Amino acid sequence: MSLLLAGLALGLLAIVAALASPSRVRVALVGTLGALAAALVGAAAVATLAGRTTRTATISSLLPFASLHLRLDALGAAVELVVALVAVAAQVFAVGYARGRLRSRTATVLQGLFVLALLVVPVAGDVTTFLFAWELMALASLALLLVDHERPSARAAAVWYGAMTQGGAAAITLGLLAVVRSTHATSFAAMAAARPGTGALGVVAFVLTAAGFASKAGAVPLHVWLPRAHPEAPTPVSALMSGAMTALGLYGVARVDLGVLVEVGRGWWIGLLVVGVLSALFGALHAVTSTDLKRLLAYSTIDAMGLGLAGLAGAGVLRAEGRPGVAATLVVGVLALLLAHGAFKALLFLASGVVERTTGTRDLDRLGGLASLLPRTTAAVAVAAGSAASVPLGAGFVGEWILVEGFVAGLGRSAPGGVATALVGLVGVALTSGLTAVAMVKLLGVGFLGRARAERPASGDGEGRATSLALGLLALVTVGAGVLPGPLVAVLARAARDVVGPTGAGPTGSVTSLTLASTATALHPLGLAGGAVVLVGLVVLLARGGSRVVRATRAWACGRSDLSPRMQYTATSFAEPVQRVFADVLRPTVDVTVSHEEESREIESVLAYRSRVDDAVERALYEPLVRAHDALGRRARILANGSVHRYLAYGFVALLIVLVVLG
Amino acid sequence: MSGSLLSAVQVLLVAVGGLLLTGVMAKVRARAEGRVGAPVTQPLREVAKWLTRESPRAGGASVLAAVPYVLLVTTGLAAAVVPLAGVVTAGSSGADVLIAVFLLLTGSLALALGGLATGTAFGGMGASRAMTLSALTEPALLVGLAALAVPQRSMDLATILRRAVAHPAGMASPSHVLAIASLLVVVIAETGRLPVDNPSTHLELTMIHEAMVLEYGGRDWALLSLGQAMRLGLLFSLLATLAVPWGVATSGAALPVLAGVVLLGAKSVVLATGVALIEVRSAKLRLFRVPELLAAAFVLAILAVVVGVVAR
Amino acid sequence: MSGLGDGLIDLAAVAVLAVAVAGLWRRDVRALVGLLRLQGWALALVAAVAAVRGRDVGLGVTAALVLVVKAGVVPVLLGRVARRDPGAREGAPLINVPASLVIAAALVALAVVVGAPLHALDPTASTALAPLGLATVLTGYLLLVTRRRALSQVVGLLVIDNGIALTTFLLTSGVPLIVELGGTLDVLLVVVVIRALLGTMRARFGGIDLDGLSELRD
Repeated sequence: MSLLLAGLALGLLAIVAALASPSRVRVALVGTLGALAAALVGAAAVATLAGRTTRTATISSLLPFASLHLRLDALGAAVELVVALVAVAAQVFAVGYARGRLRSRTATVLQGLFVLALLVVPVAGDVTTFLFAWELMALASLALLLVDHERPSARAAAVWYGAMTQGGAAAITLGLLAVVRSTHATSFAAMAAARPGTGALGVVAFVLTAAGFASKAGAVPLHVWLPRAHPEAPTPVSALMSGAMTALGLYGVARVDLGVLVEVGRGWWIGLLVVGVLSALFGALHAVTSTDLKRLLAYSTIDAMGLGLAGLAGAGVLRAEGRPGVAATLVVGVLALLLAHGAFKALLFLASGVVERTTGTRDLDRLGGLASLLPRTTAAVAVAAGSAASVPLGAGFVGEWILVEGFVAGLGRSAPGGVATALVGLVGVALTSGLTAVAMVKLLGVGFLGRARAERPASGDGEGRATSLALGLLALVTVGAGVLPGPLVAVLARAARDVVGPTGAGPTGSVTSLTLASTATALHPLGLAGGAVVLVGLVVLLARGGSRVVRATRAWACGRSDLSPRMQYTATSFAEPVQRVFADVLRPTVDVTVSHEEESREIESVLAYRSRVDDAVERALYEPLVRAHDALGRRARILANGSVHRYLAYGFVALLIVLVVLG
Repeated sequence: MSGSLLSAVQVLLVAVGGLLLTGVMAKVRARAEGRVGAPVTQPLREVAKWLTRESPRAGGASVLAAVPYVLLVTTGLAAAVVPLAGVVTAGSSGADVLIAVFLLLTGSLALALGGLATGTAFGGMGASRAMTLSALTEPALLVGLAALAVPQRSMDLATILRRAVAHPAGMASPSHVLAIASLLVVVIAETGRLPVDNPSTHLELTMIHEAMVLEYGGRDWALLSLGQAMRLGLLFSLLATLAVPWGVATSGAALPVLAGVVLLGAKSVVLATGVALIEVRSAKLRLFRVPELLAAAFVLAILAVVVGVVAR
Repeated sequence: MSGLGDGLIDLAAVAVLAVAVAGLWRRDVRALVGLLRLQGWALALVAAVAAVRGRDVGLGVTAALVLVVKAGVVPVLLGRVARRDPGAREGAPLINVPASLVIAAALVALAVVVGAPLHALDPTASTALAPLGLATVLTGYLLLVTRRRALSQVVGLLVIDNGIALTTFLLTSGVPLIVELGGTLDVLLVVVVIRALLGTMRARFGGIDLDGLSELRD
């Protein structure tokens, strides 16, 4: 616990330092202190996971009227690990990356506050502390979004984000109050022990908290803020929001809905599963068709979090069906997915910052050929994209593997309801993983390989030492967790036991292997790595037996010699087949404009093809809502016509009403 | 015979067998169309010949050089892990169904990235089409494999095969038949055969797979075509083994393993002949009709799971 | 025999459903009629095996009746209609083919969930298959709803009927002969009437695409 407290104290110190230090050393000092703080908290999480002990602490003097209750158990530690990892990387990155307004006192203080709040949420032991940290996290990130308040897109994103996050926080608060009401406890441990009943209050609590947490994790249809806010935030903040903050949404579902509201009926979980699968598919499809680098990543976050939500919901259903082992497997899969996603998504967001700094654009249609300009970034992006596309020996594969195995285990020996649930989950994961692979190939192949599609500077000065260090750290974790997942899963299984209760057949892991009893199967990643090394040797031998002459030529391209970079497939054209196959879901607007030569109608001078994929949910659901709200506001103006007498009369009438009601 | 020795044998078998199967399919097609056709060993000879030629490399040279390695290593790894000729290690072998699937997927990713790295229109076109189809194939593949795995209560291929050999009646069950039918479509799509893709076309409107690999030559091309042949060999022999698991050696003695190898060859040749005959009889589907075929395969796989659950 | 019988019933019942799903996939109207014939055969096989197993003569006669009407007369009649406009294809169904196949998959899963209590009532091997009959009915309905051509819709209707028949064979090992006779004759009547109707339609409007019927004509 002392490690955790030291870390949090260092986080506070970083904020103080940001307030006090001169602008010359501010970013470096605050970044270093913040990274150290996150590293200490991460170490505390590892110690808790390894030592099987739950630690608690109470700090009573920090807040007026309330004391902070901290509690670090296995589940909290597993999520804390993700947050700490992303926070360390983002803080280190910020040292090398921050320019202009991001170096200001306000921005650095806010960033320190945001990181501190993120670190407190998973260790909050009671409702008050949790809500305090949650709200601090929301407000700090909202303010950070407004660092670039001159850009209209950032302001619009902030409005959306502010509305959604405050709505979500209100729902969570009400839901938690309902739980407190029915359990007469405020600490999470006591709530879980009290097992609130199945009554209407329990259902209300479930729906409110699930909706609030799911909106933080970008679940459809509460996702609209995410593809706006994540791309518009400054790069290190994008990474924190996408890698860590969304994970806390799923943490909330695991902690409150799965951990406390145990008796809630199966139907609600099935509903949540459907929401998760739909979010995953929706996010994956939009990730494939997006051309803005950061927007693509934001949608791919929706996709990963949707899978996580589906996994947790599947665990809820299968636990109710009497399959706790399978439920534990699914929870472990989700936790592994969160760690993998934190690492690769933070890496990709940070790398997109480097790309934007170097080329001045995030538009994939204008990028290309970055491999020679930014070799280190490209290598890191390749690792992250591979992990996202579930390449074996990457961290992403481990999470996806456990998740799929969990759903397959749910197919066998379950009642028909459980079978249908598992089937929906399995199909969702399968389709999503295929589409994610398409998006990642697009990101890497169109953005970084091939030839440059637009003019750009000759040197890659965005690739500094600190930024590359941050990317390297995340890439290392990605590969490390993929090659040695056994120990990781062994400790995550402990966290899953915290959530779903004692189980016989959860996942187990050792250094060399990872075993899932529920589907009688195992993974030997070290063996695979060894086999890969041997095979590389064999192929090299085979290749050396042949010719070693390499001739540099021009591309053949079926005989075209005047090949310009504009003839390459762009991000839009790459995604066109997927867009066409899923046109019913994506509803793209496509128009072809033909303008003719003046002399003749038969000769066409310009053919313009435009295709645009807007968020169909936003168009169908939110636009009418916003319009109705607008109309209501305009109507309400009648009430306030500027007459002082009228305003005074309102007060008088209100007083009379109060008197009558009370009397 | 120990597990690792058997793995080595399988890698070799899949490499040589894949090339020979490609030759067999070309031969069957030629005969069915009334031609004599090249000898079955032709692909083997061609790879040996290209290996000695110099490699021309255009843009994206380092990626182009790496792609054949990735393809060969991932496919080889899958061939080493998956039990084809025999199940000789006791207990869980690490031969998980998903490991094989995702290793093969990694090969596809490498090919697509190679296509984009060339910076030509054709490379991007092939990569785009191939990735789209691979994304649509994946649900049918995973659900179809799950349908085979659920009755045996394991996702470990070795365990699945061992239990299937012990209870051969399961092979006639409707669930098994439907799952194999769906996987057959998947294999045809993944190996780029008719009616999904035409391996011998070079017409830009119809190319899928060929468009990605236009820029390879010489030694690079030799390694790449070896990798593609291995992929074909692995998918065909795996499907044949899953469809009819008879003859898979369940002990490490030399004789059963030898019998397993011979039977594996025979099953794969039968399957390859069948696919070649399908190719002769069918025309290439329009690109945007292929999703219909894959959706049909997906529904078959779902039916397989559901029927397996209902009829158990 | 029992093992073989179970296997045959399994295969035939699944074939009935698989053929219904294949109906969603094929666009060629004549192929649909061929599929209907196949479904008739599979259905007759289910009835025949159930008859042999239960040593039930009435059920045997029903099986023969199913074979004659559903695999014989009906497809022949519809085939004649289809042959009048050769190359008739379902142009663009109201829901595209991949989407309707995916919906069919969801319907099959739904049928299994909803049909589970049927098995609980009388847990034998053949009642366990009853959800397949329900799934066939739902798939037929989907065909009926999403197709534009009148003939495809007739096929959808007949698939529904086959699904109902399959469910009854599996649940009760056959209804009394007289009931089945009535049902089958109804189907026959429907086909004959529709055939006449389609002939009139073609004579009046020159086609049997139902979208042409959305406005009143003189």
